[in-house]
Amino acid sequence: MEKIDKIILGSNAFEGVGYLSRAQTRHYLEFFSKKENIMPILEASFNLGIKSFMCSNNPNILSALEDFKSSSDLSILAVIPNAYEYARESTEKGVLGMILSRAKEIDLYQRIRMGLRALSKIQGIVTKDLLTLLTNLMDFEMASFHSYNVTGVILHGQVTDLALSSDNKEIFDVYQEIVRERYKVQPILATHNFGTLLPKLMEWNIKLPIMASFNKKGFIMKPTQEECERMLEKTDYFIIAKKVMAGGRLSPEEAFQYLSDKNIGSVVLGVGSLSEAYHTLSVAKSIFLNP
Amino acid sequence: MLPQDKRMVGIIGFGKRGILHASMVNINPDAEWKAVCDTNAQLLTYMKNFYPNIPFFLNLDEMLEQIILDTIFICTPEYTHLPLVKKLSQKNMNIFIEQPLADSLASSKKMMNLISGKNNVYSIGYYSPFKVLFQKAKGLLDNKALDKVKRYRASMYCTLSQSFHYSERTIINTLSSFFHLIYWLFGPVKSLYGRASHKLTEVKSGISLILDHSSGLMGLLDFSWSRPGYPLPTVNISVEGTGGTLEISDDNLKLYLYKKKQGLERGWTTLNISDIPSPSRFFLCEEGYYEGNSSFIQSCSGEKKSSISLEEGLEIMRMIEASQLSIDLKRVIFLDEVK
Repeated sequence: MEKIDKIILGSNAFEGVGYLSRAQTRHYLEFFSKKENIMPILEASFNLGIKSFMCSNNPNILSALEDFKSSSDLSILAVIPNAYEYARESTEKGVLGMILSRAKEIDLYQRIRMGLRALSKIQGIVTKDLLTLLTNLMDFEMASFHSYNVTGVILHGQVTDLALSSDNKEIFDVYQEIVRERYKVQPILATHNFGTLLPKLMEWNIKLPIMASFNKKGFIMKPTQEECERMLEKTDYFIIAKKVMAGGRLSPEEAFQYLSDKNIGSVVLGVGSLSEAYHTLSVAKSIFLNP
Repeated sequence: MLPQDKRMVGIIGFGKRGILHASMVNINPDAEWKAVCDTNAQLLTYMKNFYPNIPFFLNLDEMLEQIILDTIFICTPEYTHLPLVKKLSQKNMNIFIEQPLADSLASSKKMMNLISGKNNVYSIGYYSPFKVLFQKAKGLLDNKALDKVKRYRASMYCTLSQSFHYSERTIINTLSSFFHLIYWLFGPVKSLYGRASHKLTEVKSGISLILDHSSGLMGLLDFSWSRPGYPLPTVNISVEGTGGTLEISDDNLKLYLYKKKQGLERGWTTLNISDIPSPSRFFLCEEGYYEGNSSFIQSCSGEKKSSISLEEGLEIMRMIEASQLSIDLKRVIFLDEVK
């Protein structure tokens, strides 16, 4: 398995995703619509020694990365597909319908704009089944990161959980094969249902890092906080904890203390302001890097 | 559990809601997803990759002939609901209908006549009652934490009009869901007066309403689907009672009591969503979906868990129709005059 840093900067706030309140979501959407507000946080994080950044191909984030002078020294963990964007755009077609439409548009786009280079990558372009279209979509989204050092690809939690509930091993096989063979990086699965996903992956003999909610409040830890903690204690899977501050309800001090003795490989930390970045990341460093 | 004790489920319509219900049924030990029907052949071809063992049908009659089913989720556009229920009710199926109930009040009433006297379980997809924060608010109101509730103000804002793909259906669906939350919290509406800046279904518009409930309670409603900065529908409800006030939002409850009551302190009590343990064992898309789905399955299995009745769906259709009528006629409409 590729090495994954202990502390990863998350990008939910930059994408207008907040769990504290809808008011906070609106603030993030407005504030981080300007790349000038994202860059200082990237810079502060980098200067504090946090070199991993998890993000989707959100235009504001890509624009900030473009201007950030140390972006080539960052290890990028790309989240695909960019489900929030599809969810916002989707209508009665549904998210899947939207993804399918987009994937088909991408075929055309890639043919025209990317020419042979794209075509040679899309091996199954003649068989327009779902997996081919999703592959095209992954190619398109990954193309946004072509000038950065992508070290891992994270399958978005909504997609992982949809695939999990379909009880279809092949989807996970195809996903990890594409990420390993095509992009030569580490495949990672995000989920909101750690307690259901882990046993299923073990049954299928699929061993991938899992990114899941772990926090003192049990916020979005499914099926229950106790079951997730019990499985975490015994597993030899690499676990990346997310929502560690329970969507902003816990201070870094109390949140990280809970995690300090847990079998956690990495933590993803989202921050919504410069001062928050200094506070949160400094506390994280003191607990996770210099215990 | 023996296989015959499981609900044998068919899904009609494989858009977002159809996929969600199929996924949730798939992980429910009390149910087995047996088949799906959708008229979009292209989508079905794609979905065979995800669900290779589930038979797909383009024709409902074929699905009903070839597969043994006792429970159906209808996840198609509302204008199809009445003909589908007509067909399915003849086969004694348990039926779950995604909201709103139908495309008009008249169709909704016909549907209710069709199922009248049947012993099957019928339910509609409203999910607010399955969200823990709203359940907590309802508990406080029902237990008279505010003593006598005098009035409330409620708003729902969203940003549908920024989407190029939004449709009249999207607006009505969102309004229907908002109306159901109000109905569930505060009870039946006796009359309403509504004003809108444009037609109810135009891109940049909103609606303001004064509601008089049968209980004598008065409410002010503001609903806009064209406010920037609201990618998610956002609810705020402010309730005033003789004993205090209650602010309800998607994120928290803020209760202010004039004196200590029912173990609750005088002054402010705030309850955030992350403070309340969620009973859901699986999370897909949004809180409430899994609970709504499994509640219906449990009702079909005869277990004592309530699901949302079609009568509630009919009442919401009446509210929507009355709102439109009030806007058109510029006068107060009593719900019993909406036929």
